[in-house]
Amino acid sequence: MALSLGLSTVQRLAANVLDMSLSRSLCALTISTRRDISTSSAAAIAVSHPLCAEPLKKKKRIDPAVVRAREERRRRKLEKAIRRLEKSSRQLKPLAEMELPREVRAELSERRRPARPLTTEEANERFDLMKEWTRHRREQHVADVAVLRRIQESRAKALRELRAESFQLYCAAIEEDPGLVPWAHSGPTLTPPIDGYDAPDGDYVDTTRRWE
Amino acid sequence: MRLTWCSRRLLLGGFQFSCRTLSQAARAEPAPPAGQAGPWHLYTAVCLQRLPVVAPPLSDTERRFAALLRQLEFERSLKSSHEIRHEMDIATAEALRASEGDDPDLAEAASLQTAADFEDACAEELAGFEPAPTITEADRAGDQRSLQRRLSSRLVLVVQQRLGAGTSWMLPQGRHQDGATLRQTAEQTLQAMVGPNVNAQFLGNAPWGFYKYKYPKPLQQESGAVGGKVFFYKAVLRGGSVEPVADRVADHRWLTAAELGGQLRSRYRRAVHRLLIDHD
Repeated sequence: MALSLGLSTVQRLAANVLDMSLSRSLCALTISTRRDISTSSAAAIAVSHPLCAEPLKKKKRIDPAVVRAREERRRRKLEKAIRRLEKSSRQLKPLAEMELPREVRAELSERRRPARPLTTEEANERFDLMKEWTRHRREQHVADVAVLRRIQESRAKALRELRAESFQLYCAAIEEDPGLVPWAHSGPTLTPPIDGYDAPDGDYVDTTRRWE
Repeated sequence: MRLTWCSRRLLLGGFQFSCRTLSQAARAEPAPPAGQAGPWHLYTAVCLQRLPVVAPPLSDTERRFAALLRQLEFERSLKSSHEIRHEMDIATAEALRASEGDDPDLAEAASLQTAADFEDACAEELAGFEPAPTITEADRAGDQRSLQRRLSSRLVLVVQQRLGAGTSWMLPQGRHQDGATLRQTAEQTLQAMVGPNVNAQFLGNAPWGFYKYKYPKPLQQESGAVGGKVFFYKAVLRGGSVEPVADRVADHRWLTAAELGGQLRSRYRRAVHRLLIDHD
């Protein structure tokens, strides 16, 4: 006896039992209760003729130029969207730390200092001092370079003499020293450290901004 | 002998090629230079430095330029909140004087701590802190054995080393033995001279300077060597303590580059001076 199952049952069984094209035309799934012995069919599942179906619409031929035009339009739209996004990424984002705080910006007029014009003598003094500084820094640089060159030459001479004396020792001397990098040194301070100084604990307010 | 182009490249290549390549090429082994007949004893000497602890004082130009920069920064700046508060305090005080104490709000505002009071309190707190002096006791006493002297310069360790019967002022020096590299010899030398508790960081595997000297005739015959070749190694004092070993070292000093001249012999001093930074 063949059972015709209702629409609801068909919908529940749709995905992995029916083919996509068949599901569109709302066929009925029939399951036979007779157990025939057969060598060909796995189970007695048959699909009835399409019920409640519409005749399929005729597919119209689209002009290839129109198709190309549509593709072109889609591509141009996407490219425009990409360009707009990239323009945004090229703009420099403001840094909160580099900007004036809101409160200061509000009272900018009160915060400006009265402009005091420089006299000619003052301007000349400043100019002369800057020239003097440039000369001083250049002399320092020249002296530094001379010192470094002298030290380099001393080292080169030492390596030459070592090479002449013993080739094995020379090879050992030009090996890299892995303990030298990274080099760390906390440099000179204004005043020397105080022996046994007990630094007092201070208060601090944690103003780290958190975005969750 | 006509050199082929590849052997000439190897000989002139100098330090660029790896040891293995050079050792495989027999012609790259340098022949001993003329005028150095006879074997030389190899020594390593250690130039142990204490780096500057304190920045040197500003020169006249530096001081005036620093003042100019501070002035420019002040002129181009906006007023700080502290200055605004100070101006408002002055205005409040003026208003109070004008109203002759009638307005209770003004009186209350004027009784709070003013900006000037706050500044004075801060200055008082700063005056209560005593920083360590840059010119120390050791500077005043001229104690050349102290590490606390001349905090803005580099100090180099110089020892009065026992050599045979007599002593000599030099950088700590030790004889190189086979089986160790020069850098290992230098480290062993330093520990043998100033004790094992010194914490020194050596600057690389290569020597920084060279000095050669001939033994006196009786010593030449006795030892079988013409003289000694000294290779200087640099090290930086990182901590620990320098405890000169009595049977190797009679005395020690910590000297700046300028003061070395008074302590060391001239040719030796020149060799040492070439590897030092001396503009402080």
